[in-house]
Amino acid sequence: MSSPGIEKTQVSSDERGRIACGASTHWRLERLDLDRAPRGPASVSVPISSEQLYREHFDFVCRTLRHLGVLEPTLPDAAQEVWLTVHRQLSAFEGRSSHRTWLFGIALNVARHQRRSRRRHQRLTALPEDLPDGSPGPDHVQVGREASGLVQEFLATLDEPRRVLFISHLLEELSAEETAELLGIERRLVYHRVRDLRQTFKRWLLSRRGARR
Amino acid sequence: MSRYSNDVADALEQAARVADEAGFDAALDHLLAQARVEATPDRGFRAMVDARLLDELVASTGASGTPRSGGKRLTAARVSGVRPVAPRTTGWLRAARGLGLVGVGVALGFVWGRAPRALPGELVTPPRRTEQTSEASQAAPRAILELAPVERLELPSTAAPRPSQSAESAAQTQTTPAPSRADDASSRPRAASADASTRKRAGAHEIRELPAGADSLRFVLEQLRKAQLFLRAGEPARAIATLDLLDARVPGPMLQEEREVTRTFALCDAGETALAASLAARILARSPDSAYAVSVRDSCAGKAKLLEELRERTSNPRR
Repeated sequence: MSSPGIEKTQVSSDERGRIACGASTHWRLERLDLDRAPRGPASVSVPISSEQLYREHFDFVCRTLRHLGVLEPTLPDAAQEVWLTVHRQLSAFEGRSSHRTWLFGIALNVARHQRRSRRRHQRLTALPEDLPDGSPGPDHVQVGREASGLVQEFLATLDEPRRVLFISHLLEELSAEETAELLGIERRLVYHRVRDLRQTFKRWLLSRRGARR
Repeated sequence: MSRYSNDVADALEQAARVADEAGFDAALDHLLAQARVEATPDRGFRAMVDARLLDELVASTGASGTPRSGGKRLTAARVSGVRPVAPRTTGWLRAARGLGLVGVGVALGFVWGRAPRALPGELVTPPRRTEQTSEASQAAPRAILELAPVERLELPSTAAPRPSQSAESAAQTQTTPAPSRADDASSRPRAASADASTRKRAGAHEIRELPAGADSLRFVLEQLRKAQLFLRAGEPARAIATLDLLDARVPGPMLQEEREVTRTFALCDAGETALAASLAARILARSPDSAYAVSVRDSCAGKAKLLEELRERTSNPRR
């Protein structure tokens, strides 16, 4: 078996412009070009296989897809698409971002694609109403579902950049550096915008109570 | 907008009103941890994705046997400014099988038996999340079981007859065969204690099979997950009732092995060792190299068989 060859690549300024968020009044989260990760200091390199990525990050990818609004019936398809993409593109992964950042980017693109397809076909699948099993599961399952529902309700009020920030940093606990890489912003801005998001959540929560009265 | 019970939202709202910033942040972080656990896929889902990926990867090999895309196990050399270009050929099927076997064996991990039953996501979690996951997983108190007399649901005779469960036929089948309703009385372990509400529900509502498709798959996954969670909460009777209902609604082979393995463990927890052993023997006869074989053998069912073998060995002085 021949050893892999290497070739030098450079990220052009145009490509960087595509990757970075826009500096205008609203954030522009461009489609991440996964073949060319954002320029930045190279991470400490650790060779990794797709199988290892799959073992270590399967749950993370599925949770991310759920948080991003992928519907349950299409979740297996979305997960499959993500991991097939990982297989195809791992050789081109330059390691400029962390694995989780890279995987999040793939999941984000898959979720977007699904949303576009959904809007195009206007088809929503749902469980039949006549399922006989309406009994609740164990208590902690109910609490988990309520928590998840509340979070999803809040996420629906956000625009995409803030939703991505919330999911990546607050829900999935990507580091500030990883989140900054994902969004193409400086790390200090992550802290500032996360603080802002927490305050937004608080205000939303209090206004939600007022709306329900 | 969905409606939720007020408990979760109220608790957080209370923190928003009265607590300082740190207090609200802590309450919000707790909510997020709960949402994260809820969003974590269960093993049934993982098994399904494993199987689909394997099919896809195998199918992606062209008719000539040469792979269409680079699928060999690749390692990314992460050097600044340098992109590795890996050869695109060779080892595609091997990688696919490897992915499938690793995925099924590790990711699905029905490594229950008497081994620690990790909640979904516990196997791969950072330390902080592990604490929160453990906390969530231990939140449900262990229930005191009151086992009613063992009985099972009356199942509609709609499923296709189950093929012979001999080792030869099991080796020939690619997928697990659907159980035959006609055989249930004699060979299928009787379900332990469907609770009264389930029996009533089963009688009151005609149990209709779900049509094949995404809805039935979703139902299977949800019910499997619920059964597993009941087991983890120390309620094997409800787990078995859940599996009974599942088998009634989706009698086909969809995740059939996972259902049977879950049922084996539930029967063990319910004290139905003989039934568990019978089911385990069937599972192992059909799929001796199953990803669940180790955990099934490690369960009460496997230990019962081991005890039986030891008895036979000790009663026969010839060694």
